[in-house]
Amino acid sequence: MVTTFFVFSVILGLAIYFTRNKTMNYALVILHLALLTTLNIHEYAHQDKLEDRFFRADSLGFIFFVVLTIISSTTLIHSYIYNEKRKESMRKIALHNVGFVGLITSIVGVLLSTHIGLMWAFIEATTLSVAVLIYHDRDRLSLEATWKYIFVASVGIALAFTGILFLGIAFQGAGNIDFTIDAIKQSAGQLDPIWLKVSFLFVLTGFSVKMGIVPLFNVDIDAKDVSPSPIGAMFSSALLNVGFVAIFRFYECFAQTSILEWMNKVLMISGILSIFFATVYLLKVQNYKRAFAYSSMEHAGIAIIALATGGVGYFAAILHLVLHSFTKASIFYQIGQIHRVYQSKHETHLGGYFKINPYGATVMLLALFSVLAMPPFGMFISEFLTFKALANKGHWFILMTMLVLLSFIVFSLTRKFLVLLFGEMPTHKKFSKNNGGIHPAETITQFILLGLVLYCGVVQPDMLKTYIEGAVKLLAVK
Amino acid sequence: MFSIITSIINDNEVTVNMMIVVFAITIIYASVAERVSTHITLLVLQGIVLFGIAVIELKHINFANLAFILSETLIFKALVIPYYLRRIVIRNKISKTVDTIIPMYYTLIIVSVAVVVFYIFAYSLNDTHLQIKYFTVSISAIFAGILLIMTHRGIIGHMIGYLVIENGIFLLSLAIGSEMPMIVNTAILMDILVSVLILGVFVNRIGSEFSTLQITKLSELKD
Repeated sequence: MVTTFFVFSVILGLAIYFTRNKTMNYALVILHLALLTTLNIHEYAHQDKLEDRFFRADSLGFIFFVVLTIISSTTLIHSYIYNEKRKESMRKIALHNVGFVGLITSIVGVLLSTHIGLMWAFIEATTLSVAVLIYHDRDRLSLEATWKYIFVASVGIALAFTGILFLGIAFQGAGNIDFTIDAIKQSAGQLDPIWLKVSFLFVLTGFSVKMGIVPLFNVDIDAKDVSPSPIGAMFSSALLNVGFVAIFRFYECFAQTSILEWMNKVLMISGILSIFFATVYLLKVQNYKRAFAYSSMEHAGIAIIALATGGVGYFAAILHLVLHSFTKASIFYQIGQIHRVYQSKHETHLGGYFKINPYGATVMLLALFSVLAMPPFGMFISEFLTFKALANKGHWFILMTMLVLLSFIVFSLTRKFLVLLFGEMPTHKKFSKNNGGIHPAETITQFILLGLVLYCGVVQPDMLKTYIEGAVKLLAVK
Repeated sequence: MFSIITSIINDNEVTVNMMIVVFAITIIYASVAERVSTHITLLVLQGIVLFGIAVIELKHINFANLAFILSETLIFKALVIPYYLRRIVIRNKISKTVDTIIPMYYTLIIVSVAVVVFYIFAYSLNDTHLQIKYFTVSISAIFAGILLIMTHRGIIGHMIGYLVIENGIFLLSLAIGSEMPMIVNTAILMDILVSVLILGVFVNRIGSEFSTLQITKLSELKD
């Protein structure tokens, strides 16, 4: 079934590229989403079963697969609106849709792969397909961002592949090279720890481009800023999760070896530095899209620290990323509308949004509560669990540093939101007081996504808990 | 003389060793090469050396896989990609010499010292399964590639650095014996080919948009 999905995706991708009738083109993208949903249901019924030799939906892959399906559906709606409002040419729409389908397909490959070499190849495929999406506007800024993203991501992915090869050197000592996750988990304990450490370091560096954390975070911020807002939503949710899953897979492989403590330290350093840089830039930046890109970096840092802390932190890390995906996607969709109203992303050009678009402003207000992890939104639980895990393990210094940095972020984001929602209306020429032709129905998806975050915070569904606990168990089972 | 050459060719280990040394020389030479065309010629040479090593080292793997890897090295690494780079250089009227941040004399010293340090590191590991020569040269190539990217101002220098990294990784994968499934091999080839093609497309666009291919011009995106 998984291979069939890939084959059909390639055929659909080609058909989308050559179809220059708009209705037909979007019908093909919707068909692809229908295939994606079918595969998702299929994986629900075939969990933990190996399919087509290299694919399996374990709990971790399945959770993020569901997130991907939800976010892809909502992103398609907003991409359609984005292209319609800008009266884009059919060629640009076709290219955009090919990139979109390619991105979704390669993310599915990453989530379901049981072979780390194959997973690596799919991650590279995400870089190539997302490049088309970043370059959508075809101006100097998008050219610069695309060049930097492809180049740095390619170098990063090459470094990650070097990490896989180091693992191969370690395997040579054991006499048998098998890069499936199960095989690595079984024999990692007998491998030379020095190679495992070097391997993990290279892999973390390489995949940090995808997750948007230290060290290679810069190009990710540029890409989120320049790409169309709906694609920014994919960056901050589905693609960020891809980076996490890739790092988690290696962490999972080595979790039962003597390097666990060392890995935790490295992740902790990467996580706290990510929050630090996010804080510094958030205090300085005036471009709203970049601000939310740095906010994504902050949350990715929190998830990495939660993972490194262990215990209840494992649960918190996965829950945090699931809820962050929904929150940040709705913020980026809304940023698209804000840009339509003000024709700008700059702080000095924005203000009085509540008067112009009360529905959109309500979304932003709710999103502020969610992104700041205020109760009863679900991210309060995941952040609280992270703090609890840090306290339980006695990481007081990290906990205190994190709290101080987060308080700066709370200040910076709140100020930005308040300026946007209640500040004075701008007077610049491009701004018109009509609301940019925004229909209230365009905010439905944002309310649904934020509603999901709220639901997870208040009700805490058993199903989600069971799947996250299943994913955490992957770290314990050899 | 002829008999010496024949005996060298017949002795696979000696041949492989020589080719690895040639590969090492190309990376050291690349650290001081001033002309873009020299860099491209060095890439061709690296592609041929990798082809030679693959012929000898991977004889035991199945034919389809071997044919694939050989065509990857000879056709793509030694012919297609260098040809494409030359076309980019001509089309965009890229300066014939490269522009570096630090004098090349320093990069030569850094790369040479790195080769020695990596050798000592590999030797000190006492790992009987580790092929020290392969390891030293491939890691040095990855390091030299990163250094090329860091020290060159021109975009073409960055692309060359990326290709040197890819060649280093390929050499490292030969040391491990390439037990990857066919699909991963395909993906790796696609990766290099597509990234170079896509990067090339963007170089052309940057060339026409910014009228210069200096990376310092790409600095409009900031906070």
